[in-house]
Amino acid sequence: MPAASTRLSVAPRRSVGWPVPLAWRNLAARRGRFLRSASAIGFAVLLMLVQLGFQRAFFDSALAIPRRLDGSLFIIDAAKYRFATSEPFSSHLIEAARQVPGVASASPLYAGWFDFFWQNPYDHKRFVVQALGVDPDRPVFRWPALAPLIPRLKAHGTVLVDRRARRFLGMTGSAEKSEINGKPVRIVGSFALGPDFQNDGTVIMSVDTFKELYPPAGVETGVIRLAPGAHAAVVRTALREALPRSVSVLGKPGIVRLEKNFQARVSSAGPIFTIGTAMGFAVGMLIAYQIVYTELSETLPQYATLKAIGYGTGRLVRIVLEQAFMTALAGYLIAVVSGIAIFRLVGGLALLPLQMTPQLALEGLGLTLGISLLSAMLAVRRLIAADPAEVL
Amino acid sequence: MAAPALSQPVVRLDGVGYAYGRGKAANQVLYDLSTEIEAGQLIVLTGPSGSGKTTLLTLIGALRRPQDGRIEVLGRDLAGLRPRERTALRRRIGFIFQTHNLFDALSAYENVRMAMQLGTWRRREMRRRGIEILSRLGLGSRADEGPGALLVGECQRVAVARALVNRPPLVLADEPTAALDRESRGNVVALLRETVAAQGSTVLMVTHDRRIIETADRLIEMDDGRIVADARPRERLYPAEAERG
Repeated sequence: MPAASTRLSVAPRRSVGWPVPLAWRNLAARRGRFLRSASAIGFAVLLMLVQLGFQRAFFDSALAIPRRLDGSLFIIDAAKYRFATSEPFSSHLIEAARQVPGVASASPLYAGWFDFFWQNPYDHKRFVVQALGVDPDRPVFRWPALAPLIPRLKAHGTVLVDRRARRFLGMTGSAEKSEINGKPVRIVGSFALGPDFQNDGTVIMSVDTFKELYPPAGVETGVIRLAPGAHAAVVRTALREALPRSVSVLGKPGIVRLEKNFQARVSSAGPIFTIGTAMGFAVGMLIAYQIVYTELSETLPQYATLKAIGYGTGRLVRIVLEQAFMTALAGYLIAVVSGIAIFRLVGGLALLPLQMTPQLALEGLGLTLGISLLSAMLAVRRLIAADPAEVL
Repeated sequence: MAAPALSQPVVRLDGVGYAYGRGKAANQVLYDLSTEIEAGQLIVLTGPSGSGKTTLLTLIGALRRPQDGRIEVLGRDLAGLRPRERTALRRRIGFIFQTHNLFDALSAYENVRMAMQLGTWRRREMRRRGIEILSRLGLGSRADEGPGALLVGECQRVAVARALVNRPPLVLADEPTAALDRESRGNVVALLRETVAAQGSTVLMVTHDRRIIETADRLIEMDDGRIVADARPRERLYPAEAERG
């Protein structure tokens, strides 16, 4: 039989052209189920995004002031474990820092988190607020919207208030007078900062006013600007040598690291959000596993048939993974859109910086792909074990 | 892959045995089977239920690992094949199963194309060849419909198309016409005969359909895991006529 012999001697080559998009067709054939599956995964991804979003908001809001400080180096008390803890040091150390070569300016930032009782100018109720004291002649912020308002603080007993503070503080209206610690203050402007997880609102005043309202006040942060050409590491070493060991000299990354360490090791918020994210991941994995497993169970004879006719297991696993990825990606899109809406709603209500940043969206995508990959790898064992002989 | 010589049989069985399970629980289903199957024949494998026909097909189809004896298929000794080589060998075999196992999400043509992707087709050839073979089985106008829109018999014909589309040198078929009406059965058998005649392929088919058996070149009967008869169908179906010549 020449035909057969010729056939048998043909060197194998592979067909060319687009392969049948089986994974997509499997999904598209059952749109209702696809939507339900994607929504279920989306729900788990949303749980993770919300946890991560809150964690980020917690972190970002705590760093809202440090990030706006206009300096290369910062002097803080060595015992300080986060920005918003009261560990004041003597203003003499700021004077000493100014003498260090390479320092162009050293400005004090006074701050209080538990000692300034603001009176709502409308209902006269008192609330603790974050208070910042600055030298109007030595600005410490890189905050364009605030800069033109700072000179107004030269007038004695004047304050700037946070118009994004929680409403019950009464900082959002047009009141011109109020009281802090029982002493009258004049409101000479407002800025937009917003509350964080610790503070409901913020007032900014001059150092003199700060000291008058709270006499035991001390410097919380020394903001160091470098002279042109000065090297930060060199100046930092010089400052450490010139200043007592009771204070630390940090760069901005050091301040951020301080806050991160606080969240990870001290605060309960870090572990809570991490556990919340992990739970979302576990829920997502369970859902995704169930989806892939069910889908696979229903089409196992078909896949076993493909195995029998010559499809390699790896190629079939790839199809199942593609299907799992597509479902997870659809779920991810649902989660991101829902997350943006939830962040807007909750962010608006809680006045917290909840935002679907590209980084957060990317983290969510990574976790989503992790969910789908792990769950599919678990479920696909059934496909790997499928015996093509059982089909015949 | 080495090609068998011209005279080499497509399938060679030598003392083949097979048991399910191990030890005391072992259930021997095939005993010392030896035979050769030449190219270009339609061979029917028949016998009562449980006689080992399907097990033998799965062994020849490299779907199971051989246990006892030696099995050569398309010039390859199955005992020495690695999993990847067994998979590659199966690409050269057309399988027709009792159940069609088509993907509901794919059209008839796409189901056939799933097999073509394992073959040696160029993109332009694929659609033409897929439609051609479906048309040959009376499904040309329904090529773009999914299994959900097709009758069971039509789905089975799509499965036949899937098995034959790559023009395999060996076709293994397990009751391929069981779900078909008379006309469809005729179409399928005609196509299998055509495959044998035009391509020199070998078709090894399990069936109890007397009309198909009559058209076969060779009839192998099995019982209790053994080959009990191996002859031309006429000799088995009409022994008196065969004797008269």
